[in-house]
Amino acid sequence: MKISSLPRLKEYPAYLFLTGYSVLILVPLGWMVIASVKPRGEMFNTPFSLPSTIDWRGYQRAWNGGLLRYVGNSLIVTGSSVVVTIVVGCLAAYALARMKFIGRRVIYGIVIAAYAIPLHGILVPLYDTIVKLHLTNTYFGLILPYVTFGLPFAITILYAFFIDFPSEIVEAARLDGCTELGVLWRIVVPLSMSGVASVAIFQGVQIWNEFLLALVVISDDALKTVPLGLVAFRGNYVSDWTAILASISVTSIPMLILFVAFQRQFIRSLAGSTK
Amino acid sequence: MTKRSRFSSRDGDRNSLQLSLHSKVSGVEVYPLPTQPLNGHRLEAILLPYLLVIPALVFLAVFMAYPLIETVTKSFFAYDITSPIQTFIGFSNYAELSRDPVFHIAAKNAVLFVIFSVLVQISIGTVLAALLDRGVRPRASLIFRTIIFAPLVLSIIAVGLLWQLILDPLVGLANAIVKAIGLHPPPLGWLGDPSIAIYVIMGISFWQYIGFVTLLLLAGMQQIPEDLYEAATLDGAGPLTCFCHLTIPLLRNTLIITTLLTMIGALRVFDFVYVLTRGGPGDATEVPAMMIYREAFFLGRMGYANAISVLLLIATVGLGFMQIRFSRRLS
Repeated sequence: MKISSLPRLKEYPAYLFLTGYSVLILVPLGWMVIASVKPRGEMFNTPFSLPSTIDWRGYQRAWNGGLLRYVGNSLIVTGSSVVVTIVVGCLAAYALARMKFIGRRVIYGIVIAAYAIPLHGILVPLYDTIVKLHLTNTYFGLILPYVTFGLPFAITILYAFFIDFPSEIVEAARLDGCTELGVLWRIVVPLSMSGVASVAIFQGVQIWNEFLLALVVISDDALKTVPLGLVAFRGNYVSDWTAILASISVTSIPMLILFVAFQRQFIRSLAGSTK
Repeated sequence: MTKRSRFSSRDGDRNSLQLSLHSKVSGVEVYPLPTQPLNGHRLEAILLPYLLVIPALVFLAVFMAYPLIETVTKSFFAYDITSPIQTFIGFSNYAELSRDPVFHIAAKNAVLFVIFSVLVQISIGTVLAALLDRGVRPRASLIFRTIIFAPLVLSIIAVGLLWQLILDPLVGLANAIVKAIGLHPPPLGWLGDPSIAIYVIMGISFWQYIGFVTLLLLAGMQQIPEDLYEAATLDGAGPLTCFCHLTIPLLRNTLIITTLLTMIGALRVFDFVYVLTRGGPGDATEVPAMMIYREAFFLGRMGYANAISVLLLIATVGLGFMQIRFSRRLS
């Protein structure tokens, strides 16, 4: 190894601090994985040791507990919410960014203001509304509110992309006979994909992990999303630590892999929340 | 009328796609067919923006504006979702809140959560971001970044359950480590001791969210032009001087926005409390969102829950508007 590729002496404190912090993050995650495959007795007797044999039965019990169903529900709810948010958000953002009409500024102001309203603050009447629409224990009971609370972020991000979109391209498409909607879906949206991806990733992570609304809207076990499922699991397998850890690992590891694979997009997406 | 114009626009859309594809692919010039009379076009042009924003506005009206108005107005009523009777009681819910010892605990915990979240997350986050930005080599920075941001993609519920097991007096890692270095773990358990439980919950939330603060601040730091640092270094400024007199002043707005976002997040805390303690032991870890949930869905006191919601809204919306104002200044 060349000397120059090693850190210089004065750089050591920086490496030390970052390494220390990283250990703090990695130890719980590592323990989660290791303890989930430890034979049950070893958790009490030798907490620091690696498992003597790898015992997958915790995963088996987690699987039999209906994990696949929870994951399926989360996929349906998250996928549809993200798609609807993007479609509805693109339409509104395009009108607000590139069309002149009476009330434009007021509507944009409403969207910005809506950004500040937390779901927690209007939970009870929101639940009431969902009850009145007969949407409790349905996917739509989650999807429609999730879309609503995702729209302010989606519209502000897409607005920023659309307003900077080069007018020459739009004009060229219009001269080719493209209608406004054609311009939007065939030209503007495909060329603003990094904005769309930002919205999709941000909303996807939020909705996948949302708990409070799901807790009050969904009580039917067949419709529970992953966070609800994990809590239900914890209740059913009170002292079966291995199965609980297995269920946490098996739902968390895919998210971590996705994060590592799409880190750049993910970071750009989260950094967008200061916009 | 609207229906017809929407229909024709869709047809026109299809035509134009074929035309534009055709003219692009073969290079043959094809002129768009005149599909409809001019005044139809003009009406469509006037109506179209409204048609585009209406779906979004309907969502916001039904699932946000209406519940928001209901939250405020129904906070002056006593009612339960299962019965149709709603009694107007004026400010009684608010008066009761001011006397409710559980709400006092919840409000105090919310304030503690806000103060400690800002102090701990912003200070550690700033140091981490500065080191990731300029303290280490790019490749090392990338690896550290991956680790530090990783907890952000996990659900709070998963993180909460994981830490619950780590802190478990019987099987958990925490007691084993504390004992191994010769100290005594808390006799009532980390989450069972009312004097420390809320701080343990805070610590777990920091474990997950310091990465978020770091990410926002790092994004802000990377906007600072490199030549400013070069100029400062030529003038003899060391890394620490650069950080204090260059990074921090230029990062001011990002720091303010990140602080506001952290405060809003701390006020909204629910999932961690639900999964770790449900507000216990006793009422020691009660927070406003937990109280709203229990008053409304267990005790059937919807009006009272709405009054708590209104106070929570005033705090978070106020901070939210400040954040929006600073964000606009930034861009």
